[in-house]
Amino acid sequence: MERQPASGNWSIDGDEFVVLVNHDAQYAIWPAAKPIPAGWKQAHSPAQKAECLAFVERRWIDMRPGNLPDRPVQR
Amino acid sequence: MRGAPVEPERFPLSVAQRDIWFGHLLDKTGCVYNIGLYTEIAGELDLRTLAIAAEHVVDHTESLRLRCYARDDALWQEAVAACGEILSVIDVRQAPDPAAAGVRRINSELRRPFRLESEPPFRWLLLQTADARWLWGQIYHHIAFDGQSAWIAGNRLAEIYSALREERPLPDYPLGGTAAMASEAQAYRASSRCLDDRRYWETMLAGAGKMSSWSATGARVGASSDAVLRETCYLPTSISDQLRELARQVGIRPEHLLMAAAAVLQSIYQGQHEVVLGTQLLGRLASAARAFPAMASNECHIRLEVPPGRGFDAVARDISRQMRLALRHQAYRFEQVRNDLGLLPGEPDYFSLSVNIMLADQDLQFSGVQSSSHYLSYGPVRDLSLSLIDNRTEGRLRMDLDGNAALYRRADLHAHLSRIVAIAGQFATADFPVGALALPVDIDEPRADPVIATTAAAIGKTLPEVLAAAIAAARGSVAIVAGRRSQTYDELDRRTNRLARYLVDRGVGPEAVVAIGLDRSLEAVAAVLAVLKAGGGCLLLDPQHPAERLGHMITDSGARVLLTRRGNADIFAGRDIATIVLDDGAVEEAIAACDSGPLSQSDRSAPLQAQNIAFLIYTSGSTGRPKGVALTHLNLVGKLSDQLRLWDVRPSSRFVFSSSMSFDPSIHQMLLPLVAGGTCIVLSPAETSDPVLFMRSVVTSAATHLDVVPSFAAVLADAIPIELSSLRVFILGGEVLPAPLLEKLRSRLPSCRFFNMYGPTEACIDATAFEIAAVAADQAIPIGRALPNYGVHILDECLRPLPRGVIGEIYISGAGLARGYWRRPGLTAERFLPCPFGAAGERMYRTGDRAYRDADGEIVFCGRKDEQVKLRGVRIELAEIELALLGQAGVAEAAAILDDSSADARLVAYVVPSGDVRLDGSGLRAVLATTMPPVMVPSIVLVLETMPLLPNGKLDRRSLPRGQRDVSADRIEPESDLEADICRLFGSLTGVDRVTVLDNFFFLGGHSLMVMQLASRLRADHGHDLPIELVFDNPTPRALAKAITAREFAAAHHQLVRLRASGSLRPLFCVPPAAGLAQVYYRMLEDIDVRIPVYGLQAAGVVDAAPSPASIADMARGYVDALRTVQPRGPYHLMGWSFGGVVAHDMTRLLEAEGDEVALLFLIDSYFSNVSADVAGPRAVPRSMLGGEGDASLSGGEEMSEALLDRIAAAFEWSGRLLADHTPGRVRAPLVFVRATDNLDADLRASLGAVSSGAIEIVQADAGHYSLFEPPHAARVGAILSSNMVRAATGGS
Repeated sequence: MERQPASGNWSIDGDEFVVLVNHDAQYAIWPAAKPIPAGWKQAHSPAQKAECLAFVERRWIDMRPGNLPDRPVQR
Repeated sequence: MRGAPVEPERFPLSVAQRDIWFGHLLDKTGCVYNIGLYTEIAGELDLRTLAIAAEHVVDHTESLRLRCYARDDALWQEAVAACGEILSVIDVRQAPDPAAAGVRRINSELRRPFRLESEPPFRWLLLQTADARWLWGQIYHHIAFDGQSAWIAGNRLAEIYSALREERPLPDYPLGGTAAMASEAQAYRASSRCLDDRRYWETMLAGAGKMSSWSATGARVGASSDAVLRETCYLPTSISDQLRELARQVGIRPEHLLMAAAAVLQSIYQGQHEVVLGTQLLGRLASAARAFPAMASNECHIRLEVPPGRGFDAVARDISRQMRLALRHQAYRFEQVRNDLGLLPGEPDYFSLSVNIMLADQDLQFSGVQSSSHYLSYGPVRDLSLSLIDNRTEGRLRMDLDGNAALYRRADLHAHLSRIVAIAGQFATADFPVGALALPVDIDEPRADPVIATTAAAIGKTLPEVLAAAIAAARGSVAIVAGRRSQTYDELDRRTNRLARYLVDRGVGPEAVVAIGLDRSLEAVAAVLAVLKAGGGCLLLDPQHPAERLGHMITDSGARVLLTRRGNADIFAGRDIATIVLDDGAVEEAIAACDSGPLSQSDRSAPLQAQNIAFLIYTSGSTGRPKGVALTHLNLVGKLSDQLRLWDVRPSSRFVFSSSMSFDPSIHQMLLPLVAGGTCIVLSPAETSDPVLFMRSVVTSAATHLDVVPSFAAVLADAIPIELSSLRVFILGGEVLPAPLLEKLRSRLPSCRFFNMYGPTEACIDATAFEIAAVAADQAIPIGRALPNYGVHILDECLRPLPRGVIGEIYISGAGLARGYWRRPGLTAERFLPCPFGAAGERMYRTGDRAYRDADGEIVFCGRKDEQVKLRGVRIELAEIELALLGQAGVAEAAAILDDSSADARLVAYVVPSGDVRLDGSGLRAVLATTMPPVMVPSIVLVLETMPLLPNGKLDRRSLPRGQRDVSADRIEPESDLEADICRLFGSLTGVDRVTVLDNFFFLGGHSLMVMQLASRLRADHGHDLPIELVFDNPTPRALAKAITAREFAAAHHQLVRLRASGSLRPLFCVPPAAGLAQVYYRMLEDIDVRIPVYGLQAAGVVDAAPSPASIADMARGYVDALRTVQPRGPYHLMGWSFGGVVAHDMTRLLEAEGDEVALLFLIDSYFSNVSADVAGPRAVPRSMLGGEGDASLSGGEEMSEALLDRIAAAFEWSGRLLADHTPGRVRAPLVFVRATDNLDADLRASLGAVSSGAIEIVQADAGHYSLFEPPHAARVGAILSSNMVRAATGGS
């Protein structure tokens, strides 16, 4: 019988998160220990929430969904 | 054997016994503290020897001979000599199922109260169920015995019987247990060990939070019943074996693993990492005491951390360690710990679940004859008690879950048990953090409502496309009405096409934000449509809002173009933005010059897609500056299609647009009627600022749909005119909807449909809907279920869906989910999370709102996460206090906060009166105190003229005045001598200086013993004779004075006549017919079983000169007060003839509302519907209702004087009027209806079904209505009543 508990954060109010990104290039944080839901990929390794959010601020510059076709010309 | 030494000494009751004594006194059934078990004996018994053995056990077991009594303001116990039959032998072999009949018989003994002063505190029965098959039933009162004692006593009986049979010397049992235990307890209290123990519990519980009940009914405090329900569950053999093996590996008991599973469940239910459990320990101080059967068991606390990251094994090991520590410190009484924690009588414990490791059911040997024992009841259960039994002979681990019947149904207990099993089952095979546990969601549980994307949303239409379809269909019909102006779809289309082209020329296109700074008007709607057609996103700015806020929104949004009018332009002057003043001559000309034809994608700067933004709505968070929520065409098309269907908006609909421009409902108030081909009724700012003007416009515009926030609906309610008949749909949302408000609106708009909506801006405003059918006044109105384009999930902090009844946080997914916060990627990533429940890559929005699903699957809102406060260890929903205040007459708005501006934090509530009503804050506070636990009652209720509001119209909590003293509290002076006397007595007993009439005796430090002193002082010094339970029920001087006065008034006013005062069974109370005299009932007295006391009630105003009651409810109130002086608690038996039956029925309603039961309600040919015989019958008082010669005279000794006859005639006539004004309620009590031969009701059963949900029995009499109490018919009526009551008393059905 395997009785080795995995550790880490499972809670949305916890302290360790990963950054996930979906096919629309939308970013979100996620409790580090919790399995990643379908359709999302890890974009930043486990870190404190503030660090994850700072990463998102740097990375997610264009917030329009990634599949928005024929991006309008910025005027 | 007889004549064993008897100790004449009396000893004070122990602390634990004292609580039980008072508990027993206040217990309506008298059997809550009964402990019951039975032993199945398979083999021959020598009854003579068994009887001798039983005598011997009783002689040598002092606690079986205890009498407990109150004397000299103190409580005592004293062992007396044994007397009477000890073991009754009953043969049930002839019963159809003898074993079941035997257990039933023992159970019925279990439900029979003990008289502690005069009876032994135990009953033993021996039931023969077959040849060589016996059941030995043991019933004990908890004041003398605990579970351990019952085991010792059983063992003693078996030992002595065996020794006698086998002619061995009898075992020697020590005598004098009571004295020994009393002196041990005394020595303990003086010891350093007691101090150590106290310190241990104090340290352990410091800062602990109170556990919430597992009861989904939310009965929070005090709502306890005497009945206990039990569900038993055996763990599957495989899990039992795995747990035993695991326990062996970890080095703990298997029961500790089940306790850990229960602790995990508590933490999930609680939504907190910290858990407090109770556990029953033996509480015996010394090894000598372990041999004495007596009441010693003690409840101890276990406190542990169950954070999501902690492994299950670690939790179980912690429990094991805590159990060891609890055992070491168990001598310190639970009652004392409660006292140290400052808990009042009736206040719930820190734990709601008590988990107890039981001894395996004992197997006694009666001289070689085998037996097995089973517990029926361990005594009272305040909330929930889980017993864990590791019985090797059964193989499987067993759990008995006992729940207080007021809080749980059997199905609830079953669900809780199966969840514990599911948790234990997961952890039996592997250790992992509790946060990784798959939550046991019940099989019938919808995980979430399925998301059905609408066709429109699915194919990705944009708002201009959807609008174009509506315009094409509605060309000539009126699209917008604003005051006297209106515009057809055709006109509106051409006008907005021109403006759209004008905007495209000025750089507006997809993803460009255009600020619209216009008052709510026809022009504003046109501007919105034009911006959308141009492909831009609308930023709606209400010119009435503060300039600083508007400035922030313009800057933050990056809007480059502003549309406004000359009247509004000043506010926006000086901003760095291209301003278009729409009514400027040159602008008007330029717009007029544009092509009025529809725009195609090629006319725009870039093709417009459903994913482009349509609106930018700014919301105020609890912290920081307002942030923009980016709503797309996809969001809105899905949302509008949901609303369209839900509210049935069609071309004939006329939808009122009254919301502030920048408040998010403005979007659908404008667009929904236009998408439907209906008419948008635009109200001007002047119209929406005056409720009367508002409603007049609603009437004159023949509006069909109205959508307002509840607080504004409350303002409008009084202005709703009678001639408003056009309104079909009333939509309420954005705030908690109080039930009384809904009822008020519905009473004025009976043919309207009402919807309660919920949703944040981030989910495009409305995400759930509830069409309100019937509402109970004291219940929250649900927010319903997800709209078709949404998914709503109630999750715990580990993002797991919670079972029904468990409060969690609301997360929303689906097509309505906003793109995110405008230019705030970090904030968006934090609140718009990956959704594990929908399509791959889907997101869900974290609302910060708390809710649960009720039994029907409807979602019930429980307030904001950040509006939940903790005071004295109790988590409090401010919304609950606000809702309670809103339920009071004259309160238009209410708010509550935790004021921690000074050292001692306290709750402060604020109310705004409706209209000119004068509100009394301390009065409101006193009302709340009657329905809420003390900790939830605000320290002050302040009356404000208006509430401070945020710009979006919601309450601004941070601006509520803090640090206010309650000046009114000092003015609560006694209003009568009695109140003053009681205040003084409270003060002298508790040592508190200044007692006000609203101070709770127990809050001042009063305890049960002081209640006895209080009662005896009131009797000796002030001549008021009162039962002490009156104090427990009325713990403030004001309430107590009122109760004493009511009691004495009733006694003095002859409202109650003893027709027969003696008897051992439940009394019968007889309510008089319209003539008001009870003496007519003397005629049936002879035919009522002599064991039943009979009382008659008599109408105020007939037997005295008091004013006649103003209503049947008043009359019922008076009678109820009177009968409570004889029988303070239910269940009651009531009867009434004719009009009297209607009153008895209303008394039943009152009694039931006050938590009492009416076990039998006899209606003697009473009419609830149709024409009452009393009214339609003779104008004069029928002789038969007065009682004839030979009847006993009135209790007041008054002859049938002229004056009395006059009063009777007046009462008779008056009762007809009361009846005409009376609307009967619906009661639960079973009815027995005696029907006269001339009864007019064609469908009597249906009429009775309307007034009671209980069983209905109709007995046909053979006399007419007025002859029912004439000889010989009265005898027959009496016999019917009597047989029903006797049957009820003997447990027959």
